[in-house]
Amino acid sequence: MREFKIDIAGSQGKVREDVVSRSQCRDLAAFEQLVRKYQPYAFSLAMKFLCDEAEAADVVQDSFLRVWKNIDHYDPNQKFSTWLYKIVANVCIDRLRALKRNRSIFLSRERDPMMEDLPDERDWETSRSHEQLADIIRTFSRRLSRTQRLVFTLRDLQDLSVKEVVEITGLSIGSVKTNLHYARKSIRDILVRHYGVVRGEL
Amino acid sequence: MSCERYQRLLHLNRSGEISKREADELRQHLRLCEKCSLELQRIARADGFIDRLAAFSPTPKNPEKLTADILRRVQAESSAPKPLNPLDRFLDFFLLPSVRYATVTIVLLVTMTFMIQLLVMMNNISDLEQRMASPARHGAAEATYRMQSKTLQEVAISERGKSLKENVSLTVTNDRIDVSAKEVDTFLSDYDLRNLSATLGASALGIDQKTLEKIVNEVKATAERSFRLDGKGA
Repeated sequence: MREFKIDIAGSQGKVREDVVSRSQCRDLAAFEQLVRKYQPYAFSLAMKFLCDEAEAADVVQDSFLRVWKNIDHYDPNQKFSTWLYKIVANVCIDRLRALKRNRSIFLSRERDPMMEDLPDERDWETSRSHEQLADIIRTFSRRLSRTQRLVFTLRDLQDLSVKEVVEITGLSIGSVKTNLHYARKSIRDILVRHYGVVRGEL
Repeated sequence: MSCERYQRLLHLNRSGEISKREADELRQHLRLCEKCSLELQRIARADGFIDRLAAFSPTPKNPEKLTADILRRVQAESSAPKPLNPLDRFLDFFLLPSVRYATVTIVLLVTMTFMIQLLVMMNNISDLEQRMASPARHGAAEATYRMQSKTLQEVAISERGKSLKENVSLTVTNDRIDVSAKEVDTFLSDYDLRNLSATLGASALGIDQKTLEKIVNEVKATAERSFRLDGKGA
């Protein structure tokens, strides 16, 4: 007797690929599925990088528009999320440059968080709003160069692998590590200076 | 090895960032170095906060609206006319009525000029061909001397040596030989009768071999004489 097996995982993988390949054929319904699936990843990266919800939403829109325009150039051998992150990172960097030029967010903001504004340690445990999260990250990010900030966000805040960070940023592995080292050192210094080391360990 | 290097390794001590050998060296070092051990504690303390930031995944306040906004822009992009590439823009330029008429006029003018030139050229060529076929009838007389056997001497003398260097033509018919000066020159230097009759064919001339010999001898003799008279050949 013949057995009929259904490879669920395989068929799901195929469906996912199919959404991208159908989008490449300018299928708007497929593209909508793609947006729904990957929008949270794009927003999370943009938000952690720019620390501003409205800016992050704009970046997500611009990024998906670029995805739509350039989807023919997407290489299926690459992870789609990596390709998307690369686009989002580029749009973020462009946006950061424009923002710095216009001095709208980072320089003339009503409330630019200082180290003293970091929340009380007990408050870290409770759920925090976007604004509070953004304030904390912005406090660290002010000390970092654009590249250090991008590498730190991708590796430590988005938890991507070093290999993916290399692909997204286009930097060499050595350069990624050096930027990561300085970014982490700077942020850890701030945190430890503010919250102190664990009692009894000093 | 200096602590500076280990401090760097400490900050990079996450999976995939340092090699196994470096991790082993770092562990060895930490057992001996109090300063670096303290740094490790500071790092662990700070990373507690960073991990909490990493665990947080911000979402847009209104994801449905964001999706809708994206799709609206994508649709607008798809229905908007695509920016033309330079070639298309160049070709579209010709769709303007004024440019179209001007182009057609210019093309017609150029074609007509070309056709006229071509006709003139063909006419010239056919004219030239006719001249080449019978130079004596088409004004090439200047360079060609019609010499009847009895006047050969006269012509040769009158034209003298300078004329002997000029144009090329030799036509032999029943009752006369049309020779150019150059041909006469060639007579003087190269031709013998056999050669001439072989080249032209006495029968083709409609005269017998003897008559031809007579004519050519006369040409040769008179031309030679006139040449000598001119003083050049003497």
